[in-house]
Amino acid sequence: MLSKWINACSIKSKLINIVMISSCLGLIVAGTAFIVFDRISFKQTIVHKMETLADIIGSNCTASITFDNRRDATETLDALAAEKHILSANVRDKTGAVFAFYNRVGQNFDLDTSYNRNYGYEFKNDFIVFHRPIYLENEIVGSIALKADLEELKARLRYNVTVVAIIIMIVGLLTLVLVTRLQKFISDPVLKLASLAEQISKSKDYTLRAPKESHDEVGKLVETFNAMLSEIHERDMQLLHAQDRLEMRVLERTTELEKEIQERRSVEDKIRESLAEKEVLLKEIHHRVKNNLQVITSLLNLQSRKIKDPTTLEMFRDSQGRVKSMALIHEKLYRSSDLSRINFADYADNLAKYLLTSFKMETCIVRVQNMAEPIYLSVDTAVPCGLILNELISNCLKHAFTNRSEGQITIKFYHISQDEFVLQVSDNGVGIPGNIDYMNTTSLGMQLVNTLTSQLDGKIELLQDMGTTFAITFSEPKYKKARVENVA
Amino acid sequence: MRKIACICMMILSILACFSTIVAQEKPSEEQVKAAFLYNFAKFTEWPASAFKNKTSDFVIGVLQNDNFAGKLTDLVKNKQVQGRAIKITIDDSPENLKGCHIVYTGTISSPLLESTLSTFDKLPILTVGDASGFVQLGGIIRFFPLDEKIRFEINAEKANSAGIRISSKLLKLATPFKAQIGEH
Repeated sequence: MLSKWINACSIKSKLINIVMISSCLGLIVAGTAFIVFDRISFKQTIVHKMETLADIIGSNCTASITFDNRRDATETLDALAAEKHILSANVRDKTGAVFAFYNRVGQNFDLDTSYNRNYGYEFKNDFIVFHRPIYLENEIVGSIALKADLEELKARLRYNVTVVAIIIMIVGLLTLVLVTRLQKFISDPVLKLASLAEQISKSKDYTLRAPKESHDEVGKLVETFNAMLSEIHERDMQLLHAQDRLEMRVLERTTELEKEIQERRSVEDKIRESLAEKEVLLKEIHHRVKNNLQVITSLLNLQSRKIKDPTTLEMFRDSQGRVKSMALIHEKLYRSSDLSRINFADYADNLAKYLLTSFKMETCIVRVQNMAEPIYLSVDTAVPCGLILNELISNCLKHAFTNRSEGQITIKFYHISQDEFVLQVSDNGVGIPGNIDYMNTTSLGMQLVNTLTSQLDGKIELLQDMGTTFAITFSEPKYKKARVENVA
Repeated sequence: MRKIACICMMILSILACFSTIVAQEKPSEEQVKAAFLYNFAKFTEWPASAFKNKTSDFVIGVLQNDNFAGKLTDLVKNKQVQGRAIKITIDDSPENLKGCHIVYTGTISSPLLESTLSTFDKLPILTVGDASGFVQLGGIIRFFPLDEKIRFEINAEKANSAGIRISSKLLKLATPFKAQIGEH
């Protein structure tokens, strides 16, 4: 409780309180001791005085007792009226009977109680009772009893208490004044230090220093505080330096990176430009290739008009078809967004339409059903595939519907696994005569089909059921596929 | 228990008081006078020349009164005055009482008293008597009755001229007497 209260005080009031409390306590203890000591010694004085008085009175009464003169004894006792503190007194003879007595005005004779006691004195609450023997030539001739009030003692106590209280007040006031002045020697440096610490914590100015005013513990504290401040300041400076350097580094690095990014961006732009250029170029190339092939087709077409021999004409037409099939691939390529792959279903559609018009079927109505799935093939696979498809459709148109008024060709192209495809061309025509081995034939078309199939690492199957079905199973060569992906 | 003890004590003390009252019969006039005589010695100083040496007896002389002397002897038995043993001397002739310190003349009166007192004149002897005119005739202390009590008067000047110093306490108790020189 006390320590809590003391801890809540400021240093100034703490110092003042501590000094005031201890000095007041000291003064009170000293004052109390003085009062107690004075009371004891004053009691002794009273006892001594009473003793003397009793002896004098007793001695003056010896003759009265000895010669049985009560009047004289009473007169002697009446002299006690001069002693205002004596309340009552009596003199007894040898037998203990009261010989003479004295009562102050207003007092009752009440010393009977004191008689049976031994000689001596006794302090009561408000009075002191005294009982002394009266000697005459070493013989006890009687006794004297005195009863005195303690007004003197009480008055002295009151006086002492007042004096001590006044002294305590004066000394306390003086102490307060002194302490209030002198506590500055202790509290001022501490308060200055505290306010400096506060100022520093607010302003973050670590160049501030506390002035050293004394060489005591507080002075040492100030020194240590200053040392700490300079250390913090130094560290701050180092940190600032480091921060500056770091910022510089970051700035440098940022500039470098920006430069690098700029460079990369320009490189990318260049690459993109070059890519666009290359795409244009590629398109151009495909376009030219297609145009050239178109020119070849046109040339072949022009040439074939002069030919009367049907066999030669057929050969020309076949060649035209083959060139067209390749030209179509290039056309598809430059039209595609990709430039490296073509949708084979689209291609098959276009090729079939072209072949139907180029063969001019007069006697028979042939329909082509394209059921190819939209699979994209690279140019390396698409060219042999396109040639194979050309040969197979041409074969159908040439041979399948002899003596038929209508016919149907079905084209299928589908996956059987991730990399394996099946290209299937069926007709509901007359079928292949049994004497013809399609694997070993002089027909250029079938030879081409076989060669191209083996080029694709594929195999040919022939189904003769309700017409003829050629199914070619192949897979896109790995290296070709990889290359295609790289380009993509 | 304590109450019973208290009551017992009270009864005992009352009985004791009663017994002392019973024992104290009123003393006779002679007894009182004997006690007074003895006590005068305590309030009086004699010159050193009055004693042979420091241990010599204190002598009280009684003139022609065996009865009184008997009472006095009973009273002073084993008692001392001023550190000296008390000796009682009885004699008919004043001449033989010249070595005493106190002389009690009793009721003897003029003209025998005059000659007796003149015998002790200028000697350090405290003369005590009962006769009227005792102090006027040169005696020092005279007993007389007053209100059923024995009182005394003192001729202090006479005592001084005899070289005896009587205590003021004693003088205070006495009926003062001025020597009327030339009256007798």
